[in-house]
Amino acid sequence: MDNFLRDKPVAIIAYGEVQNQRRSGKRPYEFAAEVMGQMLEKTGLKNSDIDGLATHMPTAEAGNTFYTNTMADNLGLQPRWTQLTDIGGCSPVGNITRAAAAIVTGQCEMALCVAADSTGTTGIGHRRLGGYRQEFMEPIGFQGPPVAFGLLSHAYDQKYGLNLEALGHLAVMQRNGALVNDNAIEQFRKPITVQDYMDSRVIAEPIRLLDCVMRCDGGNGLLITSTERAKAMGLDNLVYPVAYSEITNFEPDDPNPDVTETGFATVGPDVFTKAGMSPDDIDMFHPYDDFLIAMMLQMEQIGFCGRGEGSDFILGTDMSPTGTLPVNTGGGQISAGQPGLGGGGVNLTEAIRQLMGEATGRQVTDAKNALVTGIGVIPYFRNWGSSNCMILEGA
Amino acid sequence: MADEKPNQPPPIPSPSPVSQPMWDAAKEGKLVLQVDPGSGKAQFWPRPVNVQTGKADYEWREVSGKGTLSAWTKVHVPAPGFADRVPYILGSVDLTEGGRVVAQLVNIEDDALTPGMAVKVSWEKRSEDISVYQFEPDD
Repeated sequence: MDNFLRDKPVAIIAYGEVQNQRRSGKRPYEFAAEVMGQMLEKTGLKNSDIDGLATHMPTAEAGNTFYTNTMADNLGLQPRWTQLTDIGGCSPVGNITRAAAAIVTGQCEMALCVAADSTGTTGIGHRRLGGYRQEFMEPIGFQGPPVAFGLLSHAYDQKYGLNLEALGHLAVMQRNGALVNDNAIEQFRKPITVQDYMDSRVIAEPIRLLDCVMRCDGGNGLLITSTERAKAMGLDNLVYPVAYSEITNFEPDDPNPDVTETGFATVGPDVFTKAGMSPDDIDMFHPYDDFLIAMMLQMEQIGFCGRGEGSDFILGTDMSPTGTLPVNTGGGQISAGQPGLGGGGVNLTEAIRQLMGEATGRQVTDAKNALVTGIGVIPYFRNWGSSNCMILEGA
Repeated sequence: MADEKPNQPPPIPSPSPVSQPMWDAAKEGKLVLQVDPGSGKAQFWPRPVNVQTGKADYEWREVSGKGTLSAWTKVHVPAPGFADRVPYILGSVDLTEGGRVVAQLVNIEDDALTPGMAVKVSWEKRSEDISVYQFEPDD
């Protein structure tokens, strides 16, 4: 497939993010307003300058079949192009490409991509997931994503051997990022040890509490426009999306799939081909992290290491901000909090912040690019439903 | 997790027009699956199409209900309706005729579980109309 992003036709000119919070009582609209306000302040733009709006489907507004329109109304926007993306944690990264395509085809000039949710406040019980969830998962005792990842972890353990110490190492590394991230959820801004990980409450074996994200409230977003317009505005601290790959419902025709294999086996190599790069060229890795083992599977399937080598790769690689491959430097979602289905924006925002040189207390020096990923949807005991990869470059 | 209410019964599935034949058979203690007539591949859960062709050209076939256990997890934090069963075991079963079903494993202790062990379907009656599949050792 062609790569329309290769010549950098579009640029991210600003990002915004509020601190993740356990139960704020706020709705996604309030968070989106804060995020947009931050970016208007930074750029000097007015809301009337925004003519494109990309949203995702938040759990807190599930059932609102006019969500994007309602969002525009809340923010005082009059978009000429809208997009609602509902591929779960892939949505924030996926919206960049969708907005880029709208911009290069002249459908809009200045797009707001916003992800905000209040899952900590509303819970998820009000959602209507329909289909297999209600009929075939909940009636058999499917308690939630930890069950899916418990089964996946057991399958991985049988095939390759599961090293809990390596996962605990990831937990500690990410928590260290949250300690210096002002937007991390307050409850997680205290250090942990590998032993704390091992000792944390078992939910669905071998998944422990510290393997998992905690759902919360929050929001994040970005402004994207043509590179030509960004430069005409006099902006020079830009971040460019240079390659993107996405897949949904990986290998649907296999009735007995290997659950350890995911769509990253496709989109990882594909994004590197599109960028003309290899994993060795990546300066920072910001993988979607709903569960620690998901990070390890991505490392293997994107190509940082081989299948079954993830544990050794984790234990043998310095993933701190001063290391050889900095990973989720702000704590990832597991230690900064998962603002519902806006969670994919946590990893994404941190990557943009780093490339703009604004990651106070954890800035990676000389990072020219970042690989950001998304994971979406727990399907019927296959691997996850959607996977995407984007390579971002700094100015 | 946050939605658990104490002592509520386990959920009773609501059949769709597509899945109704499966639940009708379940009531009689039979497991039926949608099968692609061309390749013989079975699919679970029931869908409006045969995923091999994208058309509704599947056939319902009764299967043996036997299979092998590929992976499992012991659940300590229950789903709504399962508080009085904790800890309980959910297993991923690859059926002999193809297709994969995840269900509660019953009549076995977790230390007796082995990868690839033979299991067979059994049924838990939830209502007059609905029996839910479980799996137990096939000795």
